[in-house]
Amino acid sequence: MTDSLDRQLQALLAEACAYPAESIARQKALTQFVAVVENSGKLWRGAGADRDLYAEALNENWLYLLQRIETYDPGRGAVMTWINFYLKNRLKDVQMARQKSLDRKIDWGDEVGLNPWETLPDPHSNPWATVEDNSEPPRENLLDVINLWLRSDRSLRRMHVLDRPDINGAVVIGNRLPPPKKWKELALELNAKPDTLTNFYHNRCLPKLRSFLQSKGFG
Amino acid sequence: MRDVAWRSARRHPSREKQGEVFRNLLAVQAVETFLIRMGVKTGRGSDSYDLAAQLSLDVADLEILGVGRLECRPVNPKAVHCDVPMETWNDRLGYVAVAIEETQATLLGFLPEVQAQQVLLDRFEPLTNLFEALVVKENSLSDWLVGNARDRWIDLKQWKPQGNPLAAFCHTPVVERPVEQIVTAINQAQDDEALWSESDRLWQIAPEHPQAGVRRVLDLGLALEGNGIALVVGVLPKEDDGEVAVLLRIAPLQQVYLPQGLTLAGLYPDGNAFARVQARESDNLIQLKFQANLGEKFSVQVMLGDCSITEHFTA
Repeated sequence: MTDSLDRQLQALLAEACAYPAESIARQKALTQFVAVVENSGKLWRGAGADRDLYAEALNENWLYLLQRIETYDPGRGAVMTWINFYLKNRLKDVQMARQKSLDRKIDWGDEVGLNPWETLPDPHSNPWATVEDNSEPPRENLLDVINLWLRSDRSLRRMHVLDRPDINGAVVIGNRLPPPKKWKELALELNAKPDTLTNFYHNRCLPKLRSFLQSKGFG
Repeated sequence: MRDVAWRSARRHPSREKQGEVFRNLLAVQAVETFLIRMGVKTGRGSDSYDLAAQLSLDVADLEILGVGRLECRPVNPKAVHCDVPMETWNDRLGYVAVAIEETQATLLGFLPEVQAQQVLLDRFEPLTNLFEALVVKENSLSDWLVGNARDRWIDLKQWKPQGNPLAAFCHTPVVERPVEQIVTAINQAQDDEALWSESDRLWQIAPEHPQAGVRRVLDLGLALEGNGIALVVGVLPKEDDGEVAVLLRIAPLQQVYLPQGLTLAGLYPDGNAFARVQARESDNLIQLKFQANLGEKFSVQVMLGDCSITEHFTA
């Protein structure tokens, strides 16, 4: 049975090769070739692989092989063997590509429905009710405490950008508390470069704010 | 995962800030989960988890242990661009765009650098490019000796800083002597001091001479609190192959003197210093000279107050 299938397929391939590439005659011959293969029952079925992935692999395999029918060498084996060999590799490629894209998806893994782009529910509530809540409740007075510090701590005014006492810790930190002034806007106001401000903030102001908050028992 | 983000977010009194912190930490944790699966070691020492930083900046950095920080920007699934605030433009290995949804997150792509506060998502590169960024960037001095260096290190011969002439980067006075004589003196130098003094002389007269070695400069610019400072690294191959002589030199770009307290240090791979020098009140230059075996690794650290910059080298 297989022998006569193989003879038939080889004949169809030989016929297709005899016509010029892209010619209608070749296309007709190849269409018949594909039909015979797919109806033969000898095409590799994909061994339980995802049907969508298999279909994609089969499609890509045809696209690939039909461009290079001249490369089939009867001395190397039967036509079906040739087709199935490439089909298996194609399925592996398609599976790997799908796996890679799956790896980029991270499931939150919990049941809680929460749209992160909308205003979050009241912070006093806990959507993860089963999680033991050892965290601090929101401190309404966090900003008040910081603002008081900004007004009273003299060292904040003495900490400033080189030659610019007006660009000092009190001013810059104050402008970064919520709702913060944008860096570009602040830079215009203070007549400075935005990256001078961001560097000053990162290198000098942030450590100060951090140690202040730690000293008050926050964070 | 989300409860950690939630607990951090709810510490903040402003509702906008809560949302921002929540989304930032979701993005950070999504990337962290992805990287852990790939065998990359991460930590939780980043600004994104720090109350002071959360309060005053929009940051979503993830600590990559021993390497640096990766910024993980949350993206609305319907958006076509990614927001990258100015405060994240420095000190990052790169940027990952992460679509954040109600049930899941998807890593969309990677960029090694950004220069705008909004970047179109289709400018992002494939995620696989991320892995190159997660290694410590090293400068290879043997590559320098054959003319290859990373873009940021400019050939001192071609450097045109504002103001200061090249001569300011040599503190050895120019003396009229034939080139051959200086070359001989270089080859016969008994120690690093003599070697580099003669090399300076040769550099000033004939920087193209094959024995003049290689000198490259890194403009440390604003990184040190607005003090314009340049770091010059010079390399000379030694007679016995397998060793190079290294010069580290720091000079000011706008002022005459270096800021007092500025420190230059050479570090072993474990972080301990093998050499260190500090600028005193009226130093216009500080330098270190040493020798290294080819293949040996070291780092160069420049520090002023809280700011420091470290560059990594292989001899």
